[in-house]
Amino acid sequence: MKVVAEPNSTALAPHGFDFCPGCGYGSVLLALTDVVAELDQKPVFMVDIGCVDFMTAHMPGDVIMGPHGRTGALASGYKRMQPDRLVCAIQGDGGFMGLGAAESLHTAVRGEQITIIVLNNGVLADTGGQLAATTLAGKATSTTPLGRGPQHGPPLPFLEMLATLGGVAYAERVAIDSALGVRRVRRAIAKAFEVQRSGAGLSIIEVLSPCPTHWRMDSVQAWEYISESVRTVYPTGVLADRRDTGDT
Amino acid sequence: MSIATKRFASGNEAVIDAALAAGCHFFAGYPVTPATEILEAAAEKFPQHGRVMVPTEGEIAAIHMVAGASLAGFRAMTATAPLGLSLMSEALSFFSGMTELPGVVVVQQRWGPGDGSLGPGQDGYNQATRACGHGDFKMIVLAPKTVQELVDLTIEAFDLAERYGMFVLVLGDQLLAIASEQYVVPDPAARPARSVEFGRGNGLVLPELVAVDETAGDFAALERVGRRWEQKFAAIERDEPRAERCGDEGAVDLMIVAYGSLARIAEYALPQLRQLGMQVAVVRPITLWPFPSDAVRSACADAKSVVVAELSMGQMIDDVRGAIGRRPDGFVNWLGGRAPSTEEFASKVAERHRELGAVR
Repeated sequence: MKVVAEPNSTALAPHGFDFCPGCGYGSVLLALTDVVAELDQKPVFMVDIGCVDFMTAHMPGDVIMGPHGRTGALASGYKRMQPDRLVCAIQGDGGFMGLGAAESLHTAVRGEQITIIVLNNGVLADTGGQLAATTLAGKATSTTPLGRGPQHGPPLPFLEMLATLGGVAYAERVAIDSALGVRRVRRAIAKAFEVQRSGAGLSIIEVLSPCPTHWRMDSVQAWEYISESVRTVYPTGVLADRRDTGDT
Repeated sequence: MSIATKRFASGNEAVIDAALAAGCHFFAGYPVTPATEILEAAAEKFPQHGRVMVPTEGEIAAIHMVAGASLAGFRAMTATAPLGLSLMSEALSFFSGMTELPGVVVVQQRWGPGDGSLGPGQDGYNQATRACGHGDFKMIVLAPKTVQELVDLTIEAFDLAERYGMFVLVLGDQLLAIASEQYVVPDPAARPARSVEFGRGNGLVLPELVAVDETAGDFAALERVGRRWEQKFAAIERDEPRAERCGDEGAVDLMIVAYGSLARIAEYALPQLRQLGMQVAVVRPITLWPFPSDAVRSACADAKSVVVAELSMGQMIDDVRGAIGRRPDGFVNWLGGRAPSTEEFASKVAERHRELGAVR
């Protein structure tokens, strides 16, 4: 068997990961660590509350946590005062699109010179797998045991909404459902930091990330669920790119 | 060298002169009566002095941006009314209580729950001193009575915030917000960023509680963090209480306990009360937390009667009761966003005093 990559000991040390088996967050973390290794400075990471908490001990740079959902505002305040630092907010879909939707929206409206990485696993995972704004129609969660129905509304296309805003310089959705997908996560994050450095505006990367635990699947089924179901509602690709055109 | 300038402006405008003098480099805020002019003064003056001002979509974003700027090492502030403070409470619990970041919030009180009224109130007392966000934490609360004191205490709030690693609230009210007075303020001073180091090593800049919790889930270690905070708050309660007494010396017939604008009205009413033949004084807490219990106790010890005056249904009165070890003899208040004239204050207090005499 060919070893394609050694585990990144910097990211894993000293305690190893706390993620559930099959969780996509570790892949994002390793991709992020690889990208940061290529940068000439370590970013400051602002981490939301949620399963993203489990990343704090492994971040390749300074880390601060803030109250749930408000990470964009916290990161904005920091960046305004330290414009030469790279600033990266890490949030789940619950914080970014649910509780903190107003702060996320207006961070985008202002076109803050930061990068936001949103890990979208379609549930409020840290609290046990409840309905999120991103849960697919029909999908059972602990607060929608019969599945997401019409009374809950359809899944929120938040990145599509933000992509219409002039302050958003770059928005891309990627998916962890294949080895290629993981490589695209890495490439997208690298691009986001490039955009931040150029001063073009906000860069947002949304990662469709498997949550086998709360999806009640095994890891392979979770990847398939992303490929076959999640990506039909949340298509991957570049949703906004205003780096060169100056288009608002 | 700092050169002071004599100015004449409203309390709200003066807050921003004080902030510039204190080396505050960041302001974020959302308009709310009666604090809106603070935001507008910041929008005008902060950029003139190379400082950053961000008008936000709401109070929640404002306080988080202030926390972010503080984390970046700079003095930062916002201003609001009690209803905005409600929205900021979650962040204050997090960043003042748990993360121990310094910051300043000027709160101009208007009366009432919900949307309330637009007039002056003092019913933000409990919110500011005990109920501003969840969990075991305290914030220093300073209560000025004049525009000059608003300036001085706002400047000092930044020092206290950094000394103790917490947010400091300057609790004014609508009268102080709109009253224009002469005041002396040091000229704007730039202040370099302080280095931000807290939590553990490895480049992690985490709240200590989170840092401990993340690695161990060790409740004994978490309690040690709690005990350190407990000691910090105890030291503040020992070192920082402040009060002022004015009026007649010695054992008086009537001791009035009031703070902020209402204390000032009480002081102006003293001559009228004296004309009724009584010895009378006012003791005014300047720090609401830590409450100046010793000063209030000693001021009230020899008084024949103690009357508490508030623009609320009675909030500070609980602290007065705790300080003097008994229920204060009388309570007078005004509700609805209305403050009394000195004549009205004097006659209401005198009436209450007569009733107390009749009871005795």
